[in-house]
Amino acid sequence: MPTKTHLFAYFRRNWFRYLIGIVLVFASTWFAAQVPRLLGEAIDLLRDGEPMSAVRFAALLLALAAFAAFAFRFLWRYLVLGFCRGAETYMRRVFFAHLETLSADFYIKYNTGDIITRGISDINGIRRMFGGAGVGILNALVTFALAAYNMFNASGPVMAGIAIAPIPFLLIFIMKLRPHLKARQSDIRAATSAMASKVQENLTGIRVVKAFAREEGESERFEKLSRGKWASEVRRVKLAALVGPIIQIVYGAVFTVFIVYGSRRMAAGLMSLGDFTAFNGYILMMIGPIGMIGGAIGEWQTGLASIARLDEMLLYKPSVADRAGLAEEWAERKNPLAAGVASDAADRWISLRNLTFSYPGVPAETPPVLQNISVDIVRGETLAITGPTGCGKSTLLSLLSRLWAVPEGEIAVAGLDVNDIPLNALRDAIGYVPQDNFLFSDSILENIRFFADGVTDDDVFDAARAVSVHDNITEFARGYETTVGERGVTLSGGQMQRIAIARALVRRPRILLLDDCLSAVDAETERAILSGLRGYLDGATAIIVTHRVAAAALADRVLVLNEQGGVAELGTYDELMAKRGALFALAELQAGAESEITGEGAEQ
Amino acid sequence: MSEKQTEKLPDGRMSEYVEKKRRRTLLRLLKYFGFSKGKTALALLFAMLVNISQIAQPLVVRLLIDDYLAPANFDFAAISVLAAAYIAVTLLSGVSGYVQQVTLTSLGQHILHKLRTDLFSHIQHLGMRFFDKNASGRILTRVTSDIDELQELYANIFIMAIREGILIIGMLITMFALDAGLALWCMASVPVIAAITVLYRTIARRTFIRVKTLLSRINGFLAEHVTGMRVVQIFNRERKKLDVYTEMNDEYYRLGLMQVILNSLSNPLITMISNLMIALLIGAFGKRVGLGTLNIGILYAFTAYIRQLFEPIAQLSEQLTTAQSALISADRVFDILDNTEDEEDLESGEIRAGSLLGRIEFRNVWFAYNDGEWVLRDVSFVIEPGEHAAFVGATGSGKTTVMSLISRYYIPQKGEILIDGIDISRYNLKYLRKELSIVMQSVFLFSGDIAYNITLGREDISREEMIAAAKAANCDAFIQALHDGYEHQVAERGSDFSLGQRQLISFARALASKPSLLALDEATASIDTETERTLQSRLEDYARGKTLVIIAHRLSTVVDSDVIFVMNHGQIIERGDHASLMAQKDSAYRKLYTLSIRGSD
Repeated sequence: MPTKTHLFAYFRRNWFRYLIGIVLVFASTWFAAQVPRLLGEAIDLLRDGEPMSAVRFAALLLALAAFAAFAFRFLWRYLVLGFCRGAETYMRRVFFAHLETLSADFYIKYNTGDIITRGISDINGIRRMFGGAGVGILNALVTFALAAYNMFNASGPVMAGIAIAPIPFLLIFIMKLRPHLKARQSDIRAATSAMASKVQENLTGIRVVKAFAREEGESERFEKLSRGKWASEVRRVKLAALVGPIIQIVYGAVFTVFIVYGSRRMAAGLMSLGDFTAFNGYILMMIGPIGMIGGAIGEWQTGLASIARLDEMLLYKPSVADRAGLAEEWAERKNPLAAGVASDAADRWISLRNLTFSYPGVPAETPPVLQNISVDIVRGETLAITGPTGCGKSTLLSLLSRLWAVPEGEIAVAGLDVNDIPLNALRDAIGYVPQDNFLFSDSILENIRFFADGVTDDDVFDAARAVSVHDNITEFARGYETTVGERGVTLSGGQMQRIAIARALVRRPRILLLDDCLSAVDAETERAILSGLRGYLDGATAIIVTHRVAAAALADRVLVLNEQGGVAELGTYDELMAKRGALFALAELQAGAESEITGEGAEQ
Repeated sequence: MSEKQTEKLPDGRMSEYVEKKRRRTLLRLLKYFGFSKGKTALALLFAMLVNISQIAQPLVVRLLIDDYLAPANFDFAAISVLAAAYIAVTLLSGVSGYVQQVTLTSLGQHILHKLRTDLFSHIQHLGMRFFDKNASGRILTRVTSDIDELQELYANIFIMAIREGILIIGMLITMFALDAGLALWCMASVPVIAAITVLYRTIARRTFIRVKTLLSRINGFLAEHVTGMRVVQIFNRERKKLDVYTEMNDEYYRLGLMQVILNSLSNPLITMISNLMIALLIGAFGKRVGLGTLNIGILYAFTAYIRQLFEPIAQLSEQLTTAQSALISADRVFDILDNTEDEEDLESGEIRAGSLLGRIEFRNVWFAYNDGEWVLRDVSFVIEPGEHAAFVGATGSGKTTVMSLISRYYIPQKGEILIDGIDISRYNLKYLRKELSIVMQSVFLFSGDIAYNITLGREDISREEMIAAAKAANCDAFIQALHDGYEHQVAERGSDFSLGQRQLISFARALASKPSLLALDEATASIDTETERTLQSRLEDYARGKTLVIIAHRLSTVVDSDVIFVMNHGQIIERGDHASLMAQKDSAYRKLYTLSIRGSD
């Protein structure tokens, strides 16, 4: 749905706040306009020698009007800006929820910084658009109108006209100034970043600078850049500082005219002294909004651009999603993936039929990543997949949990096509450990538990023990409470990989997918962990991608893929080794250079 | 340094110490106005003009009311004069306001420029120890963000404090001159306003800091989950993560509302208080108008002054908080400027003439980057003039440190280093480094064109000499092939050249300075074997008769050296030429050499 639709949905539920706020804009401005009028009235009463009680009454009214103007102004700002904050919060949630539905293709297309900018700054821009900008413009217009109306009543149409007349010109002036100011502002930014890059460059190359005794030369270059920044700051202020004095001078001129004109009206008995003093109050009222309105219009424009940018992402369609009506169908069915449910598809528990796959968006002439793979995996079996780098092992695993759209009829789980299983049911049944073990900025405990229902601390410890990382964790000063991830401590690659596996294990998955996730430990440890896992698995089906033949030997069967992404051979380890085929060749190669492969790290 | 000192002080004395230090910093910052006395005077002059015209405006209106309008004495000629006076005062206020602001910005920027360039040039002259101790990110912050913090101080706070301070005093004086009773009454409200704004600021600041922290948490969460979205999806945790995000988001909403409340209070509150004051003023003093002891015009002028008085008070208290954080930045900047301990004096040392013969001698040199962790232990060697020497050994054996000591990046803790038989510290540093060229392991190209990168801006290198150096370094051909040749602008860090090409440019840079002593620190590591050989032969030609020191991993490049030093754990364990070292059956060199030959096949 586009941003507008979401905003409208929010508006439908909260419109009264906005509306009341807008009504109060009128009220507060009306009261504010009474203040100069009442001051004038009090002055007239004083001049005419009226009793003090009348003067005090006028003063009391003035105080009340001032308070009412303040209270209503506060209220409308609270209602309207609160409404906008609410809209911002709402949009931010909508945006994040939408991000959660998008698949890998989206995250490849847009980089993280771009997504965050839209999720924070652009949504922020929308808030400003409806708050500061929208109501700000309204408030300015109402203020102009009421001040002019009061001027009209007190000092006649001519003076009201003269007071209002400069507004459009001033606004045009401010709007014309804006792009220039923006340009100069960006000059400053450019100058600042040029300076920062120079410092950065200099610090990185400080040894070279010193080796060639170029300290003075470098200082001179920096001096030039610093001078540039100085000049651009001055250039900006020369424009920016114009606005205030010009408004001031224009309205000073208006008041000067009024002194001459007003005194004549007073002489003619058309105007009182109070009306005269009130006039200055009205001018003061008008000046503030003139300065603000220019900024408000700019914010409105920025807001529109933000909406367009946000739409680009909100209208991006998830490439993997449940087909319509699937959830209802599923609710009536007995979940064949649940633990302990008998299945007549046990011997083809996971079934690949001529699976051929190309990543979306790649040119048609590129050969597919996976080609014609047909394999039946028996329930409870452990299958190892191995093969050269780039043969599609990881792609195969990601397709099993439908990170990419899977072609109809090529992958079935528990006798059902994966497209006929709701994503959440499928993924709940699968424990998938991808190659790049990503941990969140949270405690180790919460990273392993990862919101799994009914998982106790002991379950977490058990899972950690199963991958022999429990002892490492308890050695940390804060044990399982140690924060990891971007903002936490740095774990070794092996520790991170094992915590990531524990995260998958703790949910007792029916199907476990391990994507070469022990590459950072040595071959011996990998074997130990993998054989330890079997006890923990308890009848679950496991697919283990590994590039170490020794690790593959532990599986019930081994699937070797060839470089074209097709099946090279499939069978038990002993069978394949006896056949002296692809697996055997791989084993020979690794036996010769075991040490090299251990040090190689994660495969790309 | 100073931070550590404060830690040691007991609580009571600490605040006193901080207070003293703050005052010192402030004084020091103020001293910078001296760099541009003219502009400072000008800014102050125009600030005074703004003040005078702001005070004068209500006075003109007051005269108009009391002398002409209130007594219904419509002398239009006199009124016109007053009208002219009014527009004159307004023009004065507007124009001097503009000039003042421009002058002030220019002045502030001038001072910042001065501070910035002083800081930069000071950093240039700090020794390598300083750069070892301070991460470059931190130094960068000093020169950029910390100086920017000071911008507020110079461009706004200092002068504004003076201007508004004078304005307040000037208005109070005028008010007393007009009517002491009313003025006294108004003054009573000043502390109230000040108290309210200070209180408001404190609360607002706390909220704003919380908002900022929360916002950066939300940012972080978003960033992390955009990166780790796959994991969220694999584990089917979209719902839960959305809940966590919503919770944070809602908290931000609540804080945001708090911020809205605070923002909505500040200015309207000041306006309301000044209006209330005006109402009270009329209620309390109105009867004096009837008694004839108070003119209406004066009453009117007071209403104008009350409106103008509160504004600067609110502003001043607001800037107090900004000033505090600027002072912290100022301290950080001054800490670096005051660091003389790590400073290298390029001009020190009396020997600065002639070219060097190139004899290098280490006598029992001990050196450690950090106390007690010896990197060189009792190293002694002599390289005779014109000799080609090589240092080999494992990573961390101290080879690069030897180079750093020869260029006097560091001073050894024990022992002596002699160049041409004279202690290295007696040489003028600038001269020494000019005579000695090192091609380093990590290549570095500056922004600018290739010509600049070879000459590094030294005017004593002619274009012919530069091209000759490039030819000798075997990079003339690929530079000429570029459509803009030597004027080609190097992309950031030279990313438009291969590592090997960058290495060749840095070779040319070293050769162009015509050193009497050339050192190569694993300089050929990223050049392919073919180019390396060509380069080597050219280098041999170039360096014939000159002292050449080579550090290399690939032992094939050191075979022809006159003398080879094998280093291990900071000590020279073997020395001699290739043949003699190979002749020793159990020599470490022999092992290294056979290993490297096998590795390269």
